[in-house]
Amino acid sequence: MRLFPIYLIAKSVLIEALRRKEIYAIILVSLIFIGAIMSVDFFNLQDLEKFYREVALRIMSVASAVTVIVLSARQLPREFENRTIYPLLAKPISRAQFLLGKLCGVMAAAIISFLLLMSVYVAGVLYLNGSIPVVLFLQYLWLQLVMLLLLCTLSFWLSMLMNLDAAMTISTLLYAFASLFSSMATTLYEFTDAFGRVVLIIFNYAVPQLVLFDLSEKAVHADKWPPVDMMTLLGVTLYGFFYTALFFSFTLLTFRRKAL
Amino acid sequence: MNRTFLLVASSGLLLATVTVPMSVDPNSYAAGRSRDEQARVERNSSSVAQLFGELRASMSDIVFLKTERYLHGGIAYSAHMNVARTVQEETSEYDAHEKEARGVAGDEHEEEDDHSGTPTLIPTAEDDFRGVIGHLERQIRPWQDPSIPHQHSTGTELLPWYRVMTLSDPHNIRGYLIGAYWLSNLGKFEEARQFITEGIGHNPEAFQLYLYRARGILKEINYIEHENPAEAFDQSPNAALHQMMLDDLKKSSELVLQQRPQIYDINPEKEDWNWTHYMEDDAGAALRMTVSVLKREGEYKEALEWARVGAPRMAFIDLEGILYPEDPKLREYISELEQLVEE
Amino acid sequence: MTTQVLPLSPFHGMRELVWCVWLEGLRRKEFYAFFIVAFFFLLVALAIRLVGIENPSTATFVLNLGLTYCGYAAHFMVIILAARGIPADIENRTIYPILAKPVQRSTYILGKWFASGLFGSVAMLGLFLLVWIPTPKLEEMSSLLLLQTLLLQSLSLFALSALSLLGSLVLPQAVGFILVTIITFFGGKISGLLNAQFPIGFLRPVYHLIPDFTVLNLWTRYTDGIDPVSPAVFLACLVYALLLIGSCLGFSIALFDRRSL
Repeated sequence: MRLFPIYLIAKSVLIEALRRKEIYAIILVSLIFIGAIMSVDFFNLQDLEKFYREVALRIMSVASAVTVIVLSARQLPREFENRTIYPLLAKPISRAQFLLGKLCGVMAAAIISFLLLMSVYVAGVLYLNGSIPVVLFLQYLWLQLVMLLLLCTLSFWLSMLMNLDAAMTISTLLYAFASLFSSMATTLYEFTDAFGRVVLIIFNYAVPQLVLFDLSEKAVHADKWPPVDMMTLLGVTLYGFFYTALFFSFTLLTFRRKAL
Repeated sequence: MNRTFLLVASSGLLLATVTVPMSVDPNSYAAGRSRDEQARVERNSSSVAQLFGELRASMSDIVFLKTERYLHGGIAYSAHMNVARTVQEETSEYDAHEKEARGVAGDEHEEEDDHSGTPTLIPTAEDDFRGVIGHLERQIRPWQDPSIPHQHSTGTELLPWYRVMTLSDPHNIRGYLIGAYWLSNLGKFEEARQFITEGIGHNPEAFQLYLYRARGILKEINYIEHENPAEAFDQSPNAALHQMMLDDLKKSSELVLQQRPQIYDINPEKEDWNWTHYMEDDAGAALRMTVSVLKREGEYKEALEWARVGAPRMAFIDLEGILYPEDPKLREYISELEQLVEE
Repeated sequence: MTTQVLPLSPFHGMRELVWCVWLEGLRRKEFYAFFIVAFFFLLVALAIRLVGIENPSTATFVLNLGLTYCGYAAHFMVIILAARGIPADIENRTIYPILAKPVQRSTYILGKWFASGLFGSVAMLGLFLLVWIPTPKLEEMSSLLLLQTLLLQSLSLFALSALSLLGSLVLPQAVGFILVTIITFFGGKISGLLNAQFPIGFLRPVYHLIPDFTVLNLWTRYTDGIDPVSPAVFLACLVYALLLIGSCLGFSIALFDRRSL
């Protein structure tokens, strides 16, 4: 597979994302929120580190997920709506290359915004005289990136199946209520009959459980928890890559069948 | 329409919007099920609440869950929601943890709890149908086998959450009480007082706030006496603190006399969410403490007056349905004080 | 003979415009989002039915959670619809045929505002019924307060529609969208935080310039079993919503009037 066309498409997606100022807006708002948290003064109390960690990590995770969902869900419908896809596909470029380029571009934008936010987070922790549990924090970063990749391909696929709002709504619901889906499944299992249990088992494997990519709770209570073992990290990574590959293939299939 | 006129008129309307939130708050009320401890425990210990995991609508419930998580290093247990605790019970439980924690060699901040066997919200491998996904979740999220004793942390890390809770809901009295408790535990007595005073500003009719401010002052006086024995109890600034404490106790007792139902039924099935058992406990504490402090001061007559008014006002029906026309402890005080007044 | 040209009323053509926005919404399947959220609510309701409600407190908790999220979802849908409306029309060039007709620019703004607010109110009512009908009401709650809440929430959606339109005219689309979302869900808390952190007397009114949508949200008061708000307070809340709508629409019309397309 020739890489240059992928690079060109990724570059154009990234430039477009930067030009449209969404990333700046999301980062700016996150920074304002993080600044507001740091300004929460509780009678000059010093021990605010856990609170800061928890809220800041949550804000950054939400901001990155929103960036990815907004950017990726919009990519393909806009190409069709503005008819810019026709000159592109007239060039010697396969649909897989085209999609891969889009994926790389969105992920590049997501990584840039995510790393920017993380550097602000680290600066904030140091400002509060806190410490960063390096290994656990790097593991957190890695799993967040795997989750963003998964969300990106999911949004691509959904945006091929339905309109933009619907695609964004489903992706957002899946992200925002990841923890809810997990607690619902485990609680409901006790209350359902055989048929319900089969439905829950199917749900468990058919829908990606995004809660598995969230190491933030351990990162907040890092004084109590060691880094995650490598087998678990590898397991979750493979789990994420599996769904990413699956959604990418679905997108490609839908894209190939779509009448242009 | 003239554009300039439109801009000026819109600016005028925008400025006028300021008047409403500055003068009216339709969500300003002291009672309510969402802030009631009994109701909060009931709803949060239900299976439906477990179904929702950490999803909550009210800040009060969110902080309730945060408290549980922070005290257990992030682990989500379910059984700690089973019993409604009064602020007194909750803070004395923290006190016990604190004392034990100080006794644990090598670790000032943690202690073990022997309530092992409490189920976790993430099920154990045996109870989890999710196979490998369940296994990964137990590795990724804070979890430990429920048969292992709990690790308790100190609660000072929770203080910012209480700040956020009172900022987002200034009528959440419990937030002020627990927040002030932690502050005074850190030796920040003045700050604790300031915090409760802020709460009184928002809730001038909440008798518990006056009671707990008085308690904080008493703790402060005891601390000063312990640290500086040379400083006499009746000397400034302690005298001023002392007066403040007495004023708060009297104010709290006055409000109790106004607000308490004529007869309180202990039977949990007859619990009235407007006056719950934890309010009843605090109400009794307010009257008894007022009498006790006045007695210690030698103000026997005034103490006797409070006891005489308060004792029948605290009439209650016990679990067997027997009516007690007076509070037994206050009755004891009356007998003692009558003797002292005669002498 | 001279022909007198009567100036067009700002409401001339508004009905048609609202209808256009509605049809455009249907064509672009913008209602899908509503159905997905509704389906999600139904799934949760089914799960609750399976688990069973153990006590009155839990029933009220479910009702409060459901009603709160129904309000959030409707508000979020209005932001999506209103904040994207004008920029999308400009980007897709669909605004030109509309403004080529005898329709004033102010009518265009009013039509967009009304259609988004109406959509939000209908969506909220639909979600409300999905929550309210299946949830058992085991504790006492005021029916009058419920009516007050529904009315204020509907006005809140219209106010939000106006604010979102203004945001999309003043700021880049994404920035406006994010800012309005934050104001909607955290506006009151931000004013409260500013008040507590910087309690300077003369700045208090400035803090309250940030729109506070909690003034128009009585869901928790309703499920808390509190009495209805007094007529004076209700009127004040009503006036607040109308002032917000008036100022945001006024600014939007004034800004859009001179905007080069």
